[in-house]
Amino acid sequence: MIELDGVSKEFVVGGRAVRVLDDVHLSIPRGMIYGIIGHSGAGKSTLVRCINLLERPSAGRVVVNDRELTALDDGSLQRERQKIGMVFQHFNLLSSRTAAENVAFPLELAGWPKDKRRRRVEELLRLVGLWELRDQYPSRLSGGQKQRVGIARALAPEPDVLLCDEATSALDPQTTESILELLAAINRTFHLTLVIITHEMHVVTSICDRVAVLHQGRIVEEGPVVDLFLRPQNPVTREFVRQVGGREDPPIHPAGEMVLHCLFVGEITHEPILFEVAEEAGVRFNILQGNVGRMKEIPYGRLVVAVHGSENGKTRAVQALRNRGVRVEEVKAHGSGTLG
Amino acid sequence: MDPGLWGEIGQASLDTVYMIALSVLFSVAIGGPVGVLLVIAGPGHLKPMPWLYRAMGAVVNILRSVPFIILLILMIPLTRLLVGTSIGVTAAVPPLVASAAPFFARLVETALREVDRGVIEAAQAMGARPAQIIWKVLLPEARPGLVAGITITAVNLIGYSAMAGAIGGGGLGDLAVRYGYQRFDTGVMLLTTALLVVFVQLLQWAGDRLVLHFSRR
Repeated sequence: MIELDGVSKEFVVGGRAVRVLDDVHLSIPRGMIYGIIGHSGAGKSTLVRCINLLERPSAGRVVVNDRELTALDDGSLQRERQKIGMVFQHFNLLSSRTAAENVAFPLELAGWPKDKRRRRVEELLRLVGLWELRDQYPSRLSGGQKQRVGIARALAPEPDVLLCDEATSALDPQTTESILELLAAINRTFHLTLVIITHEMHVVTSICDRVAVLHQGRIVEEGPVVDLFLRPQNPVTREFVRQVGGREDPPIHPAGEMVLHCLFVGEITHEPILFEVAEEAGVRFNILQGNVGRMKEIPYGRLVVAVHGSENGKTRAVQALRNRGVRVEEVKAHGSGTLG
Repeated sequence: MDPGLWGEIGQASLDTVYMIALSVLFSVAIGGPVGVLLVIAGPGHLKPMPWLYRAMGAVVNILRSVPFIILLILMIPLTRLLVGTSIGVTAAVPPLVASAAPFFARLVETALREVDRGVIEAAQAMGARPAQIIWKVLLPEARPGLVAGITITAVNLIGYSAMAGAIGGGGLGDLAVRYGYQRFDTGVMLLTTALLVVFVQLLQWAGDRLVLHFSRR
């Protein structure tokens, strides 16, 4: 759906060229919620603006919906942009227009006839739950309500892609939740491809399928959210994972005991695996630490356990756990780096 | 005071209104587009055009720095060309516009620069063409500032029209100079000045009401 091929962007600041994006390759499949996470200044906003060419890349190709945007003239680009919705951190609503008139705005630009426009506006304001506030000006709306108008406006011309640039960063936690739910629902209902730019890991874990970690203009890690969350490779990724408590303090390590770090992802989370393995291998488990959670729809569990029993039994236990699809790693005493 | 004078004051008031209305109209019609161009042709805006931007800025600055009384005299040949005469109420309009249009252009420029860049970016992201951004984003969003700009320009023009009267332009200013200054008729001078004050108050009041109406949103 979206292909970025060697995209670089340089800005000239005070006569000096600053490279904001450095050879970025991204491939975002249709219908996916794709997260791009990074600290401020990592180049996230520039990256998302390169997708609809609000910023023209210094090098590289941008392909959206099989159209190479970087090769289009202004007129064709403007038509293609109507199929790429964008939601902004600060909403960017027209203050001189009511909620309904704001949603109608992109339809006016695209030349929709008036009655078709009116029907579409009603449909969308009902979808985002703001039909009652249709005649209010943005100055009378709360942040969450403004963002709902922003989302309705972005969806109005029936886009294939929705770009969200820090769409929840100006909102309180509760409002953030409701906006994320709305975005996930939109993705499910309309099979729209969503690109979510954020600096908050919980945004990624609650709705994204895949994520790319951007650091100093480069993508340092990319993959399914579950993988990155459970086994972050890059230090920057680890730091983000720590934001949502995904990576714990070094576990309590009883002297002389074998300690295992076990990850359960998906359906196996619901099964009594520890109990079964204890019986099979003739060992006993002592749970030292653990947490259970959910990433989007995928349940996961993380347990740190001490294993009591014969050497032979311990080996068999590790094997039995692995056979059941548990990711097992032995934790060495004083070792904290082996956990991912 | 001579009763016949009332008729003359009435005529002079009408002349003033006529002069102001006509010059506001032309100042907005000329200064408005220039103001828009001064914004969008600027660096990093919708349609950067460095040469046009610099040339227009220079012309605006030159016109704004020539004292109005000098402009009145310098404009005489051009005024003759445009309206056929250099005296009378209509002849006062070209120098008034030459002075007020660049002023209004700067006010438009300031008002449009106040429009949030994020809103312009959002419109671009939706595929708006530059003309659509001007008509559907910049101008509506800047409406309170634009209305305030028109009010300030009109009030300024009342003052300037009095000066235009001094060189035979007609209107209340002309009356004040002829009776008050040249014939020492303080009564007429005070009366015409009072009328000008009333005009200014009315204009400012109406303008403020409109600005308030548009910025409640």
